[in-house]
Amino acid sequence: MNPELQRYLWLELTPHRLVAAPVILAGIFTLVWLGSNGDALDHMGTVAYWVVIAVGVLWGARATSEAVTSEVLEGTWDQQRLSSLSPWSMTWAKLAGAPAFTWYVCAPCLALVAIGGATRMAPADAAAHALLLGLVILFAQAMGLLASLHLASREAPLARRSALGLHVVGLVTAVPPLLYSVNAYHQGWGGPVVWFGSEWHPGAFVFLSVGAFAAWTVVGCLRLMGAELQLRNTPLAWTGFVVFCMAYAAGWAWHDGRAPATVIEINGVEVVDASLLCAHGVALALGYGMLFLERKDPVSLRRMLADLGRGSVREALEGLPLWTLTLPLAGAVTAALIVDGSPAATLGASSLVFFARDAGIVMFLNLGRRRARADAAALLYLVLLYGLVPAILAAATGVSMAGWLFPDVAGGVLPGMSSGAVQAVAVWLLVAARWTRAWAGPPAAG
Amino acid sequence: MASAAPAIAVRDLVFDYPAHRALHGVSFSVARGSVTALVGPNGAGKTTLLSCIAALLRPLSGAVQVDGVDMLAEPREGHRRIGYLKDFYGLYDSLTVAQSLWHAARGQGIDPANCRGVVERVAADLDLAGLMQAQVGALSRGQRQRLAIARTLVHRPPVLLLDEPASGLDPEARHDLAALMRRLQADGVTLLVSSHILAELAEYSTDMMIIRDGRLLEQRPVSHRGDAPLLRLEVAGPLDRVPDVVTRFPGVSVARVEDGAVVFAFDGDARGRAALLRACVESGLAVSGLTQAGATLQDEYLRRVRAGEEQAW
Repeated sequence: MNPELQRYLWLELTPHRLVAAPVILAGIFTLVWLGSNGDALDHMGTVAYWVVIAVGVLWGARATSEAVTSEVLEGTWDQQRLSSLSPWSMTWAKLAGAPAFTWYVCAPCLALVAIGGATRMAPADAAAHALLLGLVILFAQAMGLLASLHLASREAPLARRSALGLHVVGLVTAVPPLLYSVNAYHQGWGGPVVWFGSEWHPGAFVFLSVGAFAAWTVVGCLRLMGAELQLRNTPLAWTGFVVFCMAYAAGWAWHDGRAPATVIEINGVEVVDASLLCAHGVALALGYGMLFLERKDPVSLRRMLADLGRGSVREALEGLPLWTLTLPLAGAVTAALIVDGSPAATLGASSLVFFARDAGIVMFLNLGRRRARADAAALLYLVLLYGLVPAILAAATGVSMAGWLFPDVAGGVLPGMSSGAVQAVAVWLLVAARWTRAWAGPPAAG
Repeated sequence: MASAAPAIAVRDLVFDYPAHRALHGVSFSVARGSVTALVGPNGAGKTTLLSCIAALLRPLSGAVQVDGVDMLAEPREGHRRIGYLKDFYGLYDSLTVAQSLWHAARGQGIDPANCRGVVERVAADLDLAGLMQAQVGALSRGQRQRLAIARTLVHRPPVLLLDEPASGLDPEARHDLAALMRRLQADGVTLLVSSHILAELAEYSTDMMIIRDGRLLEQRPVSHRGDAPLLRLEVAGPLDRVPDVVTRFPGVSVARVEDGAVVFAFDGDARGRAALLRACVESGLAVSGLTQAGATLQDEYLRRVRAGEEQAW
């Protein structure tokens, strides 16, 4: 058996717990049985559903979200890193082991969900509901582990208080599929889903979607685990994830003239096929997300530049900040919008250069000598740049600042890009100057 | 792999923290079967160096090979070749000693069929056999240290890195640790030991490596192995004349006053020491004792560091 999984089983499945959990569950369901009027199994299924959510999602995501951070805080993580377990062995062992007790509780409850549901729907449908719920739990727990690994990989020393509440990440990401899942269990699957012009069974679509995102989450865990174990990561996984999300979002706005379109109106012009625009927006959103989440320490950047200087392109690519990879992807979509003559081309091009500007602001602040709160400061400046400053200027002059301080939606591609491009160049020149002054050479001796 | 290849080979190792450079192009090699004392003041870069060798930290540039394995390219394979005991032991308090050892053994890829035997062997070696069912959280510091060492040795690594292994131990546990080091060396294990307690390192080190401000100042064999041992001459009365008297005797060098006695190197045997004592007494010195100075390593460390300081000035 995987030693890490075995360790969790020793700790999680203690004899006391193994006995107490079934006794408590039996008590709960006996009470439900006695309090029911003829439809006991259905009621037991519903109660089991909520037990699974409480234990599997709330407790389970908490367990996985502490899987790495607790080891860092207790000083055991370096011993794990010194083992010869592969990143995959470590990842799946933590994913399966940290919430092992929650699965011990959830497994019979999921069976009850299926049995109870079968009293008012086809047994196959009831089983599908239980499977979907199980998959949502897995997704939430994987997100918890991803958050835990991400926090452990941050540059700043891990503080106990910052590791608190990390499981909320798992909970929040599980909310949309959970809401659908709960509603579908009681109200039925609902109408068909139209995606890329094809009709899908809603349950099957949600199942596949949650499954796909859970799989990407595990890939993310694997990538971060590999980095923790000092293995090199190529940027392929992140690129693949961004492309997947772009395609997933595009599918919702795809219009081939048959199904009803999701029309987006830009500057009075209707964009009937908004799939490219959606893909573009998702790429930039993920770019912004990674820009703030990823490490931006000068040492990593210096190492990447040193690799590049040595001509080690592969090593340099391995150290490339992931947010930069969204730029060519969003750029490719922008080019497609321009070629397509889409009314969204101006917005696409304009938002791309403003993203470059914003990335420059974030990097400029992160390369300062006081970097502890650089991301928070950058966020504040961006809020000011996108909200307060344009509002004040617009109120004072009566002229919209679109295209000047935030992306334009009309007026052509080049005019829409020009102001943002000038700002982006200016900000990156400042970044280059700060880098040269503060970080390009070797630091002082310690 | 040729057995003559060094156990540890480090070349041009550079490591940066954001605000300072911790290692400045450090290069050295450690011979197989040696016990190397890694010494230097706080903040010299000892722990950073050990962590880079153990592939826990990725350097800016340079190369590290342990037992022929490139630690930067194959860190997980490299971990099969090393044991690294950090100053913080990193034990799971909720496990039993047996579980803790089993977890470490399997984590290093030891076959489940052999695990039991391996765990029992290492437990016996570290005097933990009677504690196998004890919970780790209930162990004393000395027992925890033995368990931590047992975990690092469970896969019989050819190279062992120890960072302040004697820190916080009582004298008996320190004595046991020194005995263990000698036993490991006799078994052919290569040890790289960082410690502030130089007198202890002197008991079992074959080599010394001095690191300061992220630079390797010196790497050399420890002189008590074959070189002139240091002697300590105690005299009842003023000491100012004593260095002149003893250095006139053949075979005596580097005499200095230190802590109420005169310490000097002398390459003579027991008969020579008797003659030296007689010469001192005949010179009118009120000799009250002659003992071997234990802190050979500390002497050498201080001599080298002071020489470095003088050069810097």
